[in-house]
Amino acid sequence: MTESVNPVLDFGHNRAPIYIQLSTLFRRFIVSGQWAVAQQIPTHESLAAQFEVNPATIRKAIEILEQEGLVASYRRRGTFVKAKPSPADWIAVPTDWTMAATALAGLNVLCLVSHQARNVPAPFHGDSAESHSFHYTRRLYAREKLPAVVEDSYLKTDLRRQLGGARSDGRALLTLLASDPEIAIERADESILFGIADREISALLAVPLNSPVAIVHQTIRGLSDALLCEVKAYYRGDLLRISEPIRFA
Amino acid sequence: MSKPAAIRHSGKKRSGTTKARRAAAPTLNHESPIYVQLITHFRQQIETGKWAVNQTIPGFEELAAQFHVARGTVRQAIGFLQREGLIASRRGRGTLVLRKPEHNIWLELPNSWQGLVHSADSIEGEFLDLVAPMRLPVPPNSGNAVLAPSYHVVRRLLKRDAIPYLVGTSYIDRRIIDELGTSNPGHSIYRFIERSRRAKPSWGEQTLMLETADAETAYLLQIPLHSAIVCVLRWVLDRDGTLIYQSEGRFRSDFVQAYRRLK
Repeated sequence: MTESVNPVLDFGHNRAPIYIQLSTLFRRFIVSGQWAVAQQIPTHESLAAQFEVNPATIRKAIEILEQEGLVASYRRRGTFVKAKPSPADWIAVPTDWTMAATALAGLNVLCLVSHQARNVPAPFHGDSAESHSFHYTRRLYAREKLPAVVEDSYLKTDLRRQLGGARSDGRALLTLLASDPEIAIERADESILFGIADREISALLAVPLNSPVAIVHQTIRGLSDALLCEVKAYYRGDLLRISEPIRFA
Repeated sequence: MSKPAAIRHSGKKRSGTTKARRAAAPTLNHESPIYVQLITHFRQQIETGKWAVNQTIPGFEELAAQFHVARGTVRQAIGFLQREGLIASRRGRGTLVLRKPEHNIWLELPNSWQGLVHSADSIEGEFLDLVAPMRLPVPPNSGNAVLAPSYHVVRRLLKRDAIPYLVGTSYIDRRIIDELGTSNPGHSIYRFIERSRRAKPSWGEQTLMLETADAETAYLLQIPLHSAIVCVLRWVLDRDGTLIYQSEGRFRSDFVQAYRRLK
């Protein structure tokens, strides 16, 4: 690996620990094949020099990949790539309602912000909502300790109460919505856009500034088209997969 | 790579703007490169007639001041609209609006065969040399596919309004090529396959991933190295389970989006 192939990384502008950012970058090297399976990776010392960090920071970053089974270190022989991340490690962006209910269900949910919304959210799809009261929640979904998705949601306040109020903040939103037979969901639309992580999102997802992310807008409506929930979620680009059938008439 | 410099405008450092002026400018966010957001906004101005055909648009200086961005960023966005043929600079007369855009800038990534067949309208393509050694297509993630006896491989750079947006490699069951009597599938390989009588596309699957552009992809798509690209793998099977089509496409991430009706 040479210096010239390194992406421009802005470690300083990110509140995520540097070793987490480095492990993300190294994982990307393995995914892209830049660090090939069965090949030796550069020594900790040369990586430390290249990224201008302490060798101990490199060791911590590599340890994460070791725990994930992606690399293995051998005394005196160095560190080798064992495998690429497996499909089970991917985070699926849902493309139908069944998937929407299960996609984030297995992840750890951390509620970061939760308060009554000051405004009625502007839905991404369709007409604007009537003036009901909505609740804003920001959730972070993580696999083990690896942050994967930041989700901002506006949920109708009475619906949130029905789903368990404050308790609902610690659970996967769409899983909750889809699993309650009392809630009539008439329509759900989704738009997936691709962009880059700004300061705030990159810090939450523990990726470098300007890393690719998918921005997923979901609009969920009930009877007579009433807006129930508006979601805007950021998926880490290196973890997401959208896998779906091509439909035939 | 979009530079952090473009992000400056959200800061509160500049306080000289009046409320009225701020209201006129759209809210720029951090989620896509600033110049892409400017392109979207400028196209809207033309579409809605706020920038009328045959009229001049505001100068670079003025636009840069209005959006609190560097002049170079405005020039980048205006350059895009020029290549698209929507506007043109006339010496001594400023920049003129030539015509309204014909379609949305976003390219939709469909999830149905009909969507694919109809998606390829108004595109231009050019064939690229096959650089990679020949290989068999990758089998789909799920389901069992039977490989065809041989495949025809096409590697193309597709453009819309002169903007390259996709580098794609496609594997087509050679029997379809033989049946139709040409190895040039034209602008849409999906429409080409539709013309076949022997093949009946009946099952398909696709996978979308976010990657970063390697040197070749960045060069072909005219984007900075390591920009985000959307990689789309597609598989299409015939009635009898033969893999008649497989493709691997790399799209500019800032010009594609996927709409899905979840329920």
